Amino acid sequence: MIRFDNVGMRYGDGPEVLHDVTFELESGGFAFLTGPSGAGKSTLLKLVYLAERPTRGLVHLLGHDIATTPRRRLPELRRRIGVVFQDFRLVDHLSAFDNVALPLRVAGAPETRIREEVTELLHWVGLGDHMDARPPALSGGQQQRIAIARAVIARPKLIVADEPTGNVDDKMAFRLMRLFEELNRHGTTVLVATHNDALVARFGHRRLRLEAGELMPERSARQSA
Amino acid sequence: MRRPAELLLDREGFLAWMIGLMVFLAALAIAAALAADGAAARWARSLAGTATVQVPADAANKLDALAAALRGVPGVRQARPIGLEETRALLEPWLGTELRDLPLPRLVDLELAPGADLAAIQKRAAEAVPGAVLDDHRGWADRLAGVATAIQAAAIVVVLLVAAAAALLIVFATRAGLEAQRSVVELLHLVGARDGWIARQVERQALLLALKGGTGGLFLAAAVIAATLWLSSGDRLRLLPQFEIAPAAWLSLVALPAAAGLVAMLTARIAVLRALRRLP
Ligand SMILES: Nc1ncnc2c1ncn2[C@@H]1O[C@H](COP(=O)(O)OP(=O)(O)O)[C@@H](O)[C@H]1O
Ligand SMILES: [Mg+2]
Repeated sequence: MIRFDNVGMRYGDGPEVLHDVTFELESGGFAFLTGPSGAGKSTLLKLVYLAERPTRGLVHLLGHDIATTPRRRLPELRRRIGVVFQDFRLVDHLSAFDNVALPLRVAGAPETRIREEVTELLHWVGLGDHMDARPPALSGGQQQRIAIARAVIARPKLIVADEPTGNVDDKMAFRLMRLFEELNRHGTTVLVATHNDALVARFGHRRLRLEAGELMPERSARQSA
Repeated sequence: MRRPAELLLDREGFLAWMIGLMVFLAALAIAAALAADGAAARWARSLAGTATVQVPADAANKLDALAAALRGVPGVRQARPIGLEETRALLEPWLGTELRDLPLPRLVDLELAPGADLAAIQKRAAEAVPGAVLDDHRGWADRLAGVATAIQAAAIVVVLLVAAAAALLIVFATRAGLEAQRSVVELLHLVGARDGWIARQVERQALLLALKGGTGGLFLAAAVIAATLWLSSGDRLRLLPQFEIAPAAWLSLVALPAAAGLVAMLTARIAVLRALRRLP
């Protein structure tokens, strides 16, 4: 599903922020990406959700070598990856419904299907009564649920989340992880960046640890807890 | 209800207003240029067919005979002696009423056919009244033709400058609108939108906005132009020179909102595609 081979990454002419990162996350896997602030977690995820290209090394995603995939093929790959951004990135002038519908509209899905599936998903995340509300009028927790609904609406093969529990209380964070586990049980590959060690310890999943741009040798989450 | 666009180029309505204002200014500039052009041409034409013969004050009693003699010269369509009262009235603004008894040189107004023989007219006038002098306004006409050409050139330059300023402002405003939506553009890209899809979104919006604002600006300009035409026509107000615009020229005004739409559309498309090309 995801394979990195000696991946190095720098922004522009800046210093290298990822060095020789090598790992593989198999299809249907679930992994946490941990490490202190500035370690390069967000950068690694950006490579995974195709917001950046690596400066060196190989990135394989969904069976494609990104270096040799033409740019015009990338939108199709992106549609199979659901992203929960750290700051949610909701569109303020669009209703909750239209925010969640975005990936489907972009992919050219028919409106009847969009209406049906978005309505169902918003009810499922408990926002059935807020479909017409704009994000600024909603609470942080509600905004987060919109962001998650948008990430999963197009039934992605891979879900990537960048500090999805950063802005919510422990109870909400726990519920969110349960949701990811639920999706994972149905075959979705999940990669979650977090520096919430308590959360990582609580869910016994594989753990990738970044420090200053380098991936540490792996141990199981239970051993490290 | 139509759902709102994913990308909002003009959240505050600023762009539509600005395009409206630009179309308004461009329309006025074009209308003024067309009117100036027409007026200059008309002055030059009206002076070309006229001349006056001036006689010394002491020959005033021969004015009618002079007019009759001049009517016999080929090319003279009409010769009209100007009476003493009319002459006084003409000069009153300069001389005032106190100098009513001042001896005044007298005039015969001529209307000439094109190609009239000016030398023959001068000769006949001098025979009828020694000291009579023909003034064919040539100096005036030449100078007016020069002025008309200068006005036409200035009008074209003004229209081009206003059009260029309008286009530039539309370009900047469209780019600013797009820049404000940069995060949305990036988001659409990241959820798998193709560049063409995003470009079509902003393009369509820019076009609609420009047509909306531009039509508003055009209507406002049309109202101002119509009011000016009304004020300058007939005897209503002598303040303004005769002012009219050929019907065909009106069409160039109608094309303005479409031109503004095209500029906004192309700008939006080029700017968004350029921004997207920087993303992987
Ligand atoms: N867009 C960017 N341009 C330049 N440097 C960046 C950018 N994003 C992150 N960095 C740098 O890359 C390093 C890793 O950052 P990041 O991936 O955000 O780490 P983390 O998510 O683990 O906190 C940091 O030194 C940060 O300053
Ligand atoms: Mg980060």
